[in-house]
Amino acid sequence: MLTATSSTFAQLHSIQGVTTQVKAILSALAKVVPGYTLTEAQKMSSSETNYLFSDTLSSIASPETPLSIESYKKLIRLHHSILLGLEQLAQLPILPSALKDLSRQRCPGDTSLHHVIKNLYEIQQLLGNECERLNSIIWELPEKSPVIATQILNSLVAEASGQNFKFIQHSDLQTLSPERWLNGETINYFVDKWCTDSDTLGVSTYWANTFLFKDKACTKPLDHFDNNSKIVKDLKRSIRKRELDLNTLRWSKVYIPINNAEEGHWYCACINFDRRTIDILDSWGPTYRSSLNRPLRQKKHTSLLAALMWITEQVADYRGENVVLARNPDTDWSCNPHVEVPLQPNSYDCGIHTLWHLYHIINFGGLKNESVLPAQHRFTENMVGKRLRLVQEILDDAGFRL
Amino acid sequence: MSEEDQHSTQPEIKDEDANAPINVKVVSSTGDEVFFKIKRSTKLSKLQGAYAAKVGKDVGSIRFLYDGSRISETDTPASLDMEDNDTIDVMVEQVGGCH
Repeated sequence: MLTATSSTFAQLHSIQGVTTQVKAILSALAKVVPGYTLTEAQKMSSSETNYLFSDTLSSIASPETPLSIESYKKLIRLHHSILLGLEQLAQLPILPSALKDLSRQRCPGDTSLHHVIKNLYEIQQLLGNECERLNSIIWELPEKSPVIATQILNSLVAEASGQNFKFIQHSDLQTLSPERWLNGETINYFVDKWCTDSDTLGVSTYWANTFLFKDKACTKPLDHFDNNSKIVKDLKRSIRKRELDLNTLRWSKVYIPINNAEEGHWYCACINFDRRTIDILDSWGPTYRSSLNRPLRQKKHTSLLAALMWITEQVADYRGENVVLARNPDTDWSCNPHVEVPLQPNSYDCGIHTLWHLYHIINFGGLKNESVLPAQHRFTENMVGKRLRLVQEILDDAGFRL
Repeated sequence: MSEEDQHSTQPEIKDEDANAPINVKVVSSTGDEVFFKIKRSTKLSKLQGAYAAKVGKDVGSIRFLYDGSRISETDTPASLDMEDNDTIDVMVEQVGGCH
């Protein structure tokens, strides 16, 4: 009964506008709960609406849902539908004022429209929570069933072939396949994307080759530091450029992915200006264990740490801070060439560990104590769930629908 | 520009425009150098193509880096803030898993 009998044209116009928006929202919501049409929205009370939605969603998605390619796709589709529904609902800044307008009018259709809009508010609240719950269910399932997750991952990578991606190619995405070595483009894709909305300034995988090492294979760290050299100027310009890519000017960390081309190995370093730490995070067990009991001078990454200390002084200078680390035993900075990190139990996951360190840095401010985390955030024995998640993220970004 | 430089500027991207060209050195991972002269507003993809042709490689198989970042399709010396006599590094794909 969305008919307007208002006397003024402005009111008529406003009601028609709201009606059109309500219809668009309901058609988006039909993908989430197919039975919920305009009639239901007019008839049902808020609590009935809430019950219908939560009942339907929990019957489709629960932590006990058995993982299969079909159930995975169904959950991903449902998640997309909810996001689209929420997008539609959010496009209604007009709602509060529309409600106010409507309540001032006295025509038979108003109560009905008013009621529908109240129901939509109820749905908006509920879907916001459901979206989070669903996301958590989706990414816990592959952790419980790594074998099936492997099959899904292979199938997604194959399905995505021929798809056009922005900033990345299918051949790069393929390096996320089970047991494959990650390539630089894939790591850069996530560093660029994740850092944009964070307070972490992430540099490209090529940055270390230019500013931290003497050789392009990243095996010999810089050992001669000249504060007036062209490299300092270039370094600061490179930081300024990355800074422009962030949505904040108040960044406090620098994340540096490193590729040792001779060993075919990914690891990373993080400079944290808030906590005053420089950490080198390397998931390769033999390196960690052999360095553990050695004196500082003989640890594998000690000379790299020296180069990072110099870099930190330069970046601090760029930030307008004075940090002196070289020959300064009184510094309150803590510099660790081998932070205790989860170790990769295989010879192919160092790239995933390197990216997952960034995931922790951005989402938890640093490496988070593993025991308190759900498996979807943890460094797990088998990182295939994370590979699947990363592939799904690239597909989502490209608008690829399963 | 020295004579030697001029000699190695074979696939030079010439432009008669007054928009002053800059000299750019492209350095391979083995340290081999090739010199280019390029207008500040010219897309660096042109230089990349010329370099790949000169060294006989597929342009898709190598990465061109400036300031520790990969140069994109649309970048120009001006957009990257490049200066005369700056260096562009060339690298192959980076991969890693461990040993």
